[in-house]
Amino acid sequence: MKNRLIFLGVLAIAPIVSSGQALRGWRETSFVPAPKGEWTGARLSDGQPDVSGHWSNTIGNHNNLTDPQGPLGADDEAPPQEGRQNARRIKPRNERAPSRVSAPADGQIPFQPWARAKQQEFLKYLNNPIKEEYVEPFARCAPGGPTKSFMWHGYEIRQYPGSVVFLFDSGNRVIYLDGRPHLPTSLKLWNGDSRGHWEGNMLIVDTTNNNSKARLGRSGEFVSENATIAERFIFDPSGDRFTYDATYTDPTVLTRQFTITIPNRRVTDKTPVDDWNNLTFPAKHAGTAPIIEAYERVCVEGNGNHGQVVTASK
Amino acid sequence: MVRALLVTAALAFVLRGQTNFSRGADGHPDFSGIWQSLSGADYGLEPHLATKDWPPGAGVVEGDAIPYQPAALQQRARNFAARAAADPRTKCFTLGTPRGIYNDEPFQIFQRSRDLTLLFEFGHPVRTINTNNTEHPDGHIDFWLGDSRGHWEGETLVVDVIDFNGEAWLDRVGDFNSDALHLVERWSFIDRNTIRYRATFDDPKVYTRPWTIEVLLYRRLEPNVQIIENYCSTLEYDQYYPVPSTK
Amino acid sequence: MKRMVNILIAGVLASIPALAHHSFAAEYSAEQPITLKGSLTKVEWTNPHGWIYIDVKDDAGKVTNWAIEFGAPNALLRRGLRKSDFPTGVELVVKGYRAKNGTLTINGTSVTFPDGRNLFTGSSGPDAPGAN
Repeated sequence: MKNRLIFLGVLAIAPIVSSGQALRGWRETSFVPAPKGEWTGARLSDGQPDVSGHWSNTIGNHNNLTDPQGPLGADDEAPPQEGRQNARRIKPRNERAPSRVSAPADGQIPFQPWARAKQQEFLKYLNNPIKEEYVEPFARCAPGGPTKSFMWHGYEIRQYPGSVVFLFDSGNRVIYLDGRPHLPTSLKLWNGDSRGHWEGNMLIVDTTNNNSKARLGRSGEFVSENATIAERFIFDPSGDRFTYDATYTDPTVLTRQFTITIPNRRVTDKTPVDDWNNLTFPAKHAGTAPIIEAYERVCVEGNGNHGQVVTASK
Repeated sequence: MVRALLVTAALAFVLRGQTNFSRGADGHPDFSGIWQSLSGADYGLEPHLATKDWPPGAGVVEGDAIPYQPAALQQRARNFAARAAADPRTKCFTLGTPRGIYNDEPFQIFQRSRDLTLLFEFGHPVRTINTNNTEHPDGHIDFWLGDSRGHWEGETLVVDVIDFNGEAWLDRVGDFNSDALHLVERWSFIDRNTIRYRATFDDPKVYTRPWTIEVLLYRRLEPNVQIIENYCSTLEYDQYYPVPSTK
Repeated sequence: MKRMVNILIAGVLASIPALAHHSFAAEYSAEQPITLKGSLTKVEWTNPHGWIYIDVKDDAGKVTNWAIEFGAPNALLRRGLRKSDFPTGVELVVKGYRAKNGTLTINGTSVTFPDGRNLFTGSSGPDAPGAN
């Protein structure tokens, strides 16, 4: 009897939600990093752990790198929604997710003084972009960059012999597994140039050729085109979660290395559709197995003028 | 019965020997790799002489001329006149379908049993061709790249594409389609490094009848060749990031 | 016809702010809610924001054209809205918030059709649903 009730609950069609009530588990305030070890789950024909599918991070967006569920200055409140109180009620700091910067221990990026001043300047003018550089580049449809791409909407992983492909709302990443050399160092790219290999449940990636133009969030953190990134995608044995770690080295901007850690969870046909973590649609087909698919990811709005910048220049 | 099976197996063996191309684990031809057209079709699908902007080309349209309705022909003329600003290529986010295929920049095909993923260097958009027996979604949806559902007919991948937004052009001289376009593509190997790409355009709002193009796609064979990121829409503002450049 | 309209749209878009994945506060003011009644002149079904343009007539009879930003077309599709729901000339009541830079642009939060259908058009905010 109990099993049948559970079955009926699972059978309910995933509801469309426009607020947070069904998002428990998609806005975590704490998480346990996935343990490194052997992979015991399904494998592809070439031996890679099979991690393909739809995923999303469980913390939130790129508003604020060091306080990702916190406010971003006094006027970052989202508009009140019809018939509701203000949609964004900020919890106390100790009830919010920790800084995405997991090392150093203070959760801050170890900037050189000039870079800290620059970051503060970007933050100050985010909501009053009187100069071009104050427009956060993601707002122009620019790619998210290797790390910030994981701080937005749900995305998809597709795997092939010799490569792992990530498809984001804006931009995509190809991680080559075939041992080929990097591109020439003078070629600097928005999403860098990535080479990786599997060790047990961990995809280890070396990302160079960064132009770092995507920055690290609306809060204005950034690194330079001299940055290199050592990334680790550690997949939990359950197959439903992975932890993304990215260690940045950049002597131009930093006083030491830092690491960003982002938890991610698999999106399935059972995941509530919220048009944020889960942007998929059910595929139309004659069979009975649920198939979800994402529609095309083409961001086209970046070609207009930009708010205050237009006003300032008139 | 046994003799029929032996004959079939022998035929399959002979055919396989004659067509020495890659196959996926599912037995179908595997188009994975980096491909590029040399047709010059992006400069003009129809035959065209050189201009200061592009070389001459014999065209890729069967019958040479695209069968436009009279009003559509006038529209193309308007497109041509306005092309410097009006060609969506200048916005650089996507060339749409099928222009990305015969554009002069390469694209990469990643193939698995359930789909083909096409990553185009120009603008870096991704097009998915679903080969998992799924159908087009209900109703018309406006996509830049269309909605692509493919199936195999022997060694040929046949792809049905609808759900266009009608915003993309077909080339630099202003050839175009509407949101009613129904495109059918046929992809097949002619040898392991060459794909024959055929596409039939059916659009009752623009053309008087269906028409077909054929383009060859050549595999890029340089060692370690890879698609290089080309988000060219960022060129108008990238000097402001990560900090404003003094260059 | 479509090509000419597209060229016109390109002209219109060049003169209004059109940011993609932006924070609400970077572009719009929560202190300036507004309700507009007008007739549709154009719809742009772009990603990540759909846009509609409406002619609004004031008491003196002067007509101004307003741009209204919606959420992503796929999100609107899920709520039952398609581009074909916005035929030219349809009378709409749109609620939203004005752009900070004073242009005739709003971030639309809901649209009411002549038949009384009222749809949340879910634009740029909240940026992360359930962020709290």
